[in-house]
Amino acid sequence: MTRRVAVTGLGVVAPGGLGVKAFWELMTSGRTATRPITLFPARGFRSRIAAECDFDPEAAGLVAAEVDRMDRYVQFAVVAAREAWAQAEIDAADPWRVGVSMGSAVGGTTLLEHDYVTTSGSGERWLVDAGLASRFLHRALSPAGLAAEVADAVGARGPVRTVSTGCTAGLDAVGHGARLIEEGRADVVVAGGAESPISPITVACFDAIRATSVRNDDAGRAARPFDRDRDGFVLGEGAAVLVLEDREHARRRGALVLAEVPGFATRSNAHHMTGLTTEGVEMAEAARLALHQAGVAPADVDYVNAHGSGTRQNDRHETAAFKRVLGQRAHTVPISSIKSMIGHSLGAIGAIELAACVLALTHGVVPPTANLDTPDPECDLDYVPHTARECDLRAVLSVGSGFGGFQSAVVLTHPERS
Amino acid sequence: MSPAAVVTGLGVVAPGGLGVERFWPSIRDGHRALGTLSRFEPNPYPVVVGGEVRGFEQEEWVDGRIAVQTDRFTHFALAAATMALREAALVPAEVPSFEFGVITAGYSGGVEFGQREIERLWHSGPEHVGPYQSIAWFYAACTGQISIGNGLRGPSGVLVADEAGGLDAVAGACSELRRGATAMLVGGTEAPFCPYAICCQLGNGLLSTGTDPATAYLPFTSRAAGFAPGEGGAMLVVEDADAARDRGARARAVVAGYGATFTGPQRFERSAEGLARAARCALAEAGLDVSEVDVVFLDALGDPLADRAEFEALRSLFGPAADRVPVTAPKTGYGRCYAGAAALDVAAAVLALDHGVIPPTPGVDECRFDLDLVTGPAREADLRTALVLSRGLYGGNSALVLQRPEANRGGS
Amino acid sequence: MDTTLSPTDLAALINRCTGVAVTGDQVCFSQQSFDELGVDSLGLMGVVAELQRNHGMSREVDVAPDQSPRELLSLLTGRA
Repeated sequence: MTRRVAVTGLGVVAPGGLGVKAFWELMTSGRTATRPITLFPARGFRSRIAAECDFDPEAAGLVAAEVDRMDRYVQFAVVAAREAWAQAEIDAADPWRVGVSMGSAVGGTTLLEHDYVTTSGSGERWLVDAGLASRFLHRALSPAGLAAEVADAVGARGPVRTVSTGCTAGLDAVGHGARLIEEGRADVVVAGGAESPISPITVACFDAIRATSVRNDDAGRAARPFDRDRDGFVLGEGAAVLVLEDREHARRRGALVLAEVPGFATRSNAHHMTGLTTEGVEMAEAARLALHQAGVAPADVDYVNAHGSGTRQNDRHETAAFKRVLGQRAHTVPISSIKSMIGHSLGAIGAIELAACVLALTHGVVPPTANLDTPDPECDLDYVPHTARECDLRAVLSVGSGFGGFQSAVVLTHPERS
Repeated sequence: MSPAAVVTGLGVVAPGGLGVERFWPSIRDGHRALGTLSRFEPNPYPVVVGGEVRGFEQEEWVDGRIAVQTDRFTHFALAAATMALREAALVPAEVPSFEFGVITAGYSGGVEFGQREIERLWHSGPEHVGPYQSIAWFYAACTGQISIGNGLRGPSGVLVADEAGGLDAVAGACSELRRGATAMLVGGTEAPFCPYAICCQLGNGLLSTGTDPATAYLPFTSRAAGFAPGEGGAMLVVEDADAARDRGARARAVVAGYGATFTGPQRFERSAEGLARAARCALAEAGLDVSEVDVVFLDALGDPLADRAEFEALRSLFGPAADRVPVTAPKTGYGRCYAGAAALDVAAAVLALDHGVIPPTPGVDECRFDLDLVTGPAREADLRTALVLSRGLYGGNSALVLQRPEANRGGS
Repeated sequence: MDTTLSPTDLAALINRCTGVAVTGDQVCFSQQSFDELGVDSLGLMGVVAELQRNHGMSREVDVAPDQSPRELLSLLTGRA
């Protein structure tokens, strides 16, 4: 018998507020947290806006040694993990049966860039001066330190992995975390994503391919998924962590189950590293498989959390994918993109979106797509413009799409859905 | 695992040789491929010895359009994937594209490409960063390019966990095969030899600063003083056993079991228990008793504490028989290639099972622990079951059990 | 800043930026678009960016993959 996967804890560090409560308040308000970049001097860059976290590590509970050792994205993750773990109230779990599955696309970019400037003399030396490197730079070369720190934060000794499938990493990490439980490799998996990419090299690389919005004078309204006047995504940062648990394990200890994760699938478009076709075939296939695994028919999908990055090509591609996989239901189901409010935090956003889905199921409220003033005629579905909407939600579909061609889908269901 | 996954093809890009036809003889014969690092000169860093891939002609393996948009680590991955498909005699178009995916394990990503671009940014300005930085440096580049290059629309993934990630990736591929995939390309490649990458690696304190390639990387000896890094790696074709049989492919080995634990970055003493548990889990999954293990491919970090922990893990696992189970670390001949290391160890294990020969641990002539470390010449043996052990610098401990197809009885 | 880019120079620049072998003759005479020549969207962005950085091409100009190297050359030299 396949084990069922429950969500018993949630933690979020997102633009607009620390913690789940502040996050959900923003999600239901329809306000946006996109603004001019403050994390570094952005003059001279094409896109000068981002969704930043106002993050004070000490206020968030990190001690000096942790602040010293951990890169920004790891700090986000550990704070979110502690929030989720506290909510789950797991007092006695065999640590060898507790795993971690975290996602990040660009990992230690912040520290890598910071130390690059020092060791290279701002790009003067190819043969960088290693003597000027900071003590923990070695941890930044790979995002693997992310899962390791989260594992230490919760005392996990089971399978611990960092998933790095670009912009679907957060979604995939949770999906793979659920599989660890299904396959009996762990009873509890702390899963999510974290990213702190707001750094010159990342902003510049998206500038170079014109993927990001240049609505620099109107930052709050720049992230406009599905809108006729959208001009790219707004880079964001943050983290979200879900405590996943074998449903039986949760039941035995009387844990409060927030949601279940009955379906996950990923496919690739094998077409182009950044380009998307207009048909959405592979995203539709990933969604179809996830829904099938979950035993949820298209007609029973109550809400779709879109990738909705706000690039011209993505939103068209996704609209086609929804029609393909949901058929008639695509035209009536509420669909929204929270990137409209908190930007696109690459490997973190998939997990943050799943957190929003869990909260949507819990509260019976669908977050809106902010800034959707004039829908693109090609994006002619119900994208929930501006205002959050009360809905009875039983089954939710979340999708993601990323550089490299990754197309992923996760299905979440209400704990009482039979 | 159900006996669903078989290795049908191997592609190797290693300092010891390109392709299985060169890699196998080089490790069988204990060939020494470590040398003085030459990728950049002068080399101002204290790490002088490493394993560099020689004779790799990028134009032979990578289309010009792809070469400009990718880092060396992706060139290696593309080449290894092509070789693996050839060896498996598997034409991607003959597999339903949604059922064929790729998983790669990584550590340093496209770091040399990245250093060039970040230099342009800081030296000349943001507008000097090129359009390929967004797809060349990130860890998902190899999976993405292999998927596109071969039209693979199946389930794909990217894991980053240093060496342990390589084994985790193989297990992930097997998981996908159980969930409906027909074939998977899986492995890892690394190209960590640019100045900034070396600068980052130095901080882990585990790199050997020996200047003599013959003595820089000597795990399990009293002279162990760290590991020599390597570049390269391997890709494997892993298929559903029934599908492989149906198309007449030769199954080289069965991936029979897997286990993974975490004991924390460089907490070597604890890694002993972590590694032993991972191995026990893998063996249990394979339905095997520990006495059935014929050879162990070691992690071989080369740090005295890490070596001792690996010995303790073996002792815990095998009990009094620990000194009689052949163990080996061919990577002393070509370096520890981070995420590529595990893929190369799996390739070596498959080849060992195939040939009935245990490749030795080159350069190592004494072992300070009571182990049957295979040194000197290769050893012929009736090999049915191989255990591969890998630890990651970030604290993961992973184990994989491989078996000769006819020996596999099916696990749990 | 060098704005006098010969067809051969432009061909070499396209080659360097995109990995696609284009000749000076093709730049002069061929109607084939970048798409048809196998230059993808990212590659073309790189070509345009280099021309803007080092060869005085206006930043207001945009070039689409369905245009040809020949059109690009005339945009650059102002003979559109």
